[in-house]
Amino acid sequence: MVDYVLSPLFNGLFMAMVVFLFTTGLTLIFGILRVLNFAHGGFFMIGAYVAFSIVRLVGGETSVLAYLAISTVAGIVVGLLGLVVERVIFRPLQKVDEAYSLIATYALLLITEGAVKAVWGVSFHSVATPDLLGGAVFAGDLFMPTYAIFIIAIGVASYALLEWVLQHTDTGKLMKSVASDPWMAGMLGVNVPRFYTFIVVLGFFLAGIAGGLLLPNQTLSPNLASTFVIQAFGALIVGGMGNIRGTFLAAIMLCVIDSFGSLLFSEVPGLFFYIAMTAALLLRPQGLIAGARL
Amino acid sequence: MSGAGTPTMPLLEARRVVKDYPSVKVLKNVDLSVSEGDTLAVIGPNGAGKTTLFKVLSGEVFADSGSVLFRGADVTRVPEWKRVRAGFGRSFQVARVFKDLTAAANVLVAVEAAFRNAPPGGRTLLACDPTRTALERVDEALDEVGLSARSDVEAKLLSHGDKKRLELAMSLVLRPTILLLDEPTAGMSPADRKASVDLIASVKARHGMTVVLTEHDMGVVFDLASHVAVLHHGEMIATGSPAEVRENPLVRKIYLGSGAGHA
Amino acid sequence: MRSPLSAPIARDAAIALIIVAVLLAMPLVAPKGLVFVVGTLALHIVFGLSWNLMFGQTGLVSFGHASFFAIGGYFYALVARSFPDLHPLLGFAGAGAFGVALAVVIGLIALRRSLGVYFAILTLALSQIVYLFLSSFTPLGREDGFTGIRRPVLDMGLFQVDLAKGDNYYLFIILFSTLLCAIIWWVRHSQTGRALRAIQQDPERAAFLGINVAGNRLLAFAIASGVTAVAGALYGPWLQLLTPDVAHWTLSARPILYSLLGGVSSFWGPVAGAAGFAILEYGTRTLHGFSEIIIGSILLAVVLLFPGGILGGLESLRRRHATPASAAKETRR
Repeated sequence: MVDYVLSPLFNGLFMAMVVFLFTTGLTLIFGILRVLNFAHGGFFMIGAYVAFSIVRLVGGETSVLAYLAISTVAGIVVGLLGLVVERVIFRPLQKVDEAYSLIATYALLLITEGAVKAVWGVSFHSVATPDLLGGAVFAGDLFMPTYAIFIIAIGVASYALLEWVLQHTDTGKLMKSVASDPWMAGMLGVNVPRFYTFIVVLGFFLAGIAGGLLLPNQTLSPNLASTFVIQAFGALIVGGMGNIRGTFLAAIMLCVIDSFGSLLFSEVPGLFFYIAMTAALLLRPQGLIAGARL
Repeated sequence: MSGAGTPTMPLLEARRVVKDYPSVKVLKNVDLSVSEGDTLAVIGPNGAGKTTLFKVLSGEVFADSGSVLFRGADVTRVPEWKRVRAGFGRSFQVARVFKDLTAAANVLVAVEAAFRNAPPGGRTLLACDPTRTALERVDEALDEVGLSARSDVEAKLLSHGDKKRLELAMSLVLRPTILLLDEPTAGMSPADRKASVDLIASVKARHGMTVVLTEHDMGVVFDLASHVAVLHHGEMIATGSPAEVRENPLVRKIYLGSGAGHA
Repeated sequence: MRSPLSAPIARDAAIALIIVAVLLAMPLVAPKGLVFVVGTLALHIVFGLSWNLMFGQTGLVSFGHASFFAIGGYFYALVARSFPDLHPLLGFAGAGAFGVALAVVIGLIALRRSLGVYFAILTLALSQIVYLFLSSFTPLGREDGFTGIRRPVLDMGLFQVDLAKGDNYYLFIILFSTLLCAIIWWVRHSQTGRALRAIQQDPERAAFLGINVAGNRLLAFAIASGVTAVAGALYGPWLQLLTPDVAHWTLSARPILYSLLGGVSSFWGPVAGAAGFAILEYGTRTLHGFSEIIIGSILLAVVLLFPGGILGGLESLRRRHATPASAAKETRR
């Protein structure tokens, strides 16, 4: 029971929240600007490296509060980078074909990888989990690392927060209306370009903070950028082209299936994520939550 | 499939066709029959279901129930490209041409699609140039619709009327048995409209094809049509010769009563 | 008189002849490292051209093209190891046939239900499956790769060529790649190519001319995949090693970059794009980290300044100086 049901379920949920935290910023930018940002992984990675540098600077401070604060700082740094990226790259891209904006964000991914190599080098780094989160909890025979529980909680809380903002605040309503019809929103007096800037900065902030939060889970290397991107695209598209609820559900579905799949076929880890993704695209090409923007 | 069909058999027939879209029922048990050599105009106010009927007849969408027969054979669920190969031709309400190709290249694609199995003039396996016969057919078709002078112009640079003409040329080289024209004069000036009517009439006379068209302009309908079918709220309320339909009390009530102002 | 609708065979053959002559002469003048780069470039040109047959010609966006390159490579390596007496040309042809067969199976399922971004993401997912499989399957060497792939002896009946000797394999790659490019050129300029172009422009309109849209899309996907599989098969003996990285999605991004960089609407676009990319990569190979920054920045600059690619940019520059009448002629291919 524990080995075959609860444990894979728990691991699947943990992975799902890792993927979801990675994907939120991507979803936001895709949902509103329709730019599929390959470079998202690059900025996630920069967030993780920035957090790593701060941890080293302050001498391996490992309290939970410091860890949250450091992640936020990483988010702010990456958000500021987003401001530059939006002005220099995303804004001109609004005028070119979708295929070209894809190649541009890929070029940006290359630049972030190069920048990380140039600044931090190519060697591997890792960071200890904060003391309080380093333990584990046993529920019966189910082994649950505290850090995993923490990430699941953060993931669910982020989802709830984003959903609340989208459904119940003016900002959220504005986001939805700009997403569904930017031209009309502009007609009604919304400063759409400035709103796009805000969304990009927010999306990058989310990438950076995710990089900080997930740092204890990762081995830092310049390859980090490209590892999550494809899974994130999977969650985004299976979820239904850029809505938060769909992405959240898709991440859970794909990761939990993958987790159970690895029990059956452990030789190829991660295989079932993509099998489930393929099946989902074929069976439900419109996505889990079709039609909805954000 | 029977070759020529018996004299009594309509060329194209719709029987109790129903088509629903998520919010509305667009076609409700529509019956329609076109005989060889007819020019049938389907008319009706906006939203009557003309375009949907057109899509069902041409195979762009399939009917939810009911059937479409071509020469007595059931083609209800036959995809559009197979219907075209069996003898359908169609134009679109807003002319659709391959915008980055020249006018001549547009027609060449159609010619080669028509020739796909038996290219006249023969071709060796390795040749990639179009055959002489195909090129001649392209020139002929452009000449017929009056576009010869513009054959090397990219289609996106053509005027609205020229695009319609180009589309007609593309349909003609397919040598269709039945030609479906969706609003052939939509958005045209009166002069262009007159030229289009003459063109359609002359093309029909020369090739002897059967024509089904939808139309808003009553002048065009009465100039071209041998038969008229009136669609209203997804139901076929009248069919017959133009004169019969004009005298039909129900049609008069709907058209004149609703102040549509046609005719 | 030649019709404006005829294929520009004389012009393209002349260009091809010059390029091939220069490439064949490379080993006489260039250092070994550069010759290796150029041999790889030839295969990447095939890779880019075949992808653009799907995109520029037919309108299909595949994000998983590298998986066919990898599948062809591993297929040939496995066959050559298992049947050492098999004629190598049969091995290369077999890799192509395997690529075609796989593409037909995938295409029958994937092209039916999904197009556009969905087809792109679907091919991406499938290529990840290939990548994970190659990374974890022991007989194929897992992460360490498939090692010891030999350059074969080519038995041509009357004479034998040992491709392991000197620059023989390089010359073989150049000639074989030329053949593969010629196949793509021919498909592109044939009647089928014109039908594909029509589908790329407006699939629904094409269907109403009696063109079998789904069948032609499948055909383009199968040809592109088969040609790429042969290029992958040639790559194994060139490197004498295959790692799962040849199936990684970053390699799938390459033909996309080549095509968009060079220009998708002309046959030569991916050729120019691949060459440009190779020059950038070769020129910056010693600058750790800065290599990616420079390549990325130049790519960005091209996309932002010349959205039609290098050739498209040149074309519009030339058109600005040409008379309107000759400009209209230049736009035809």
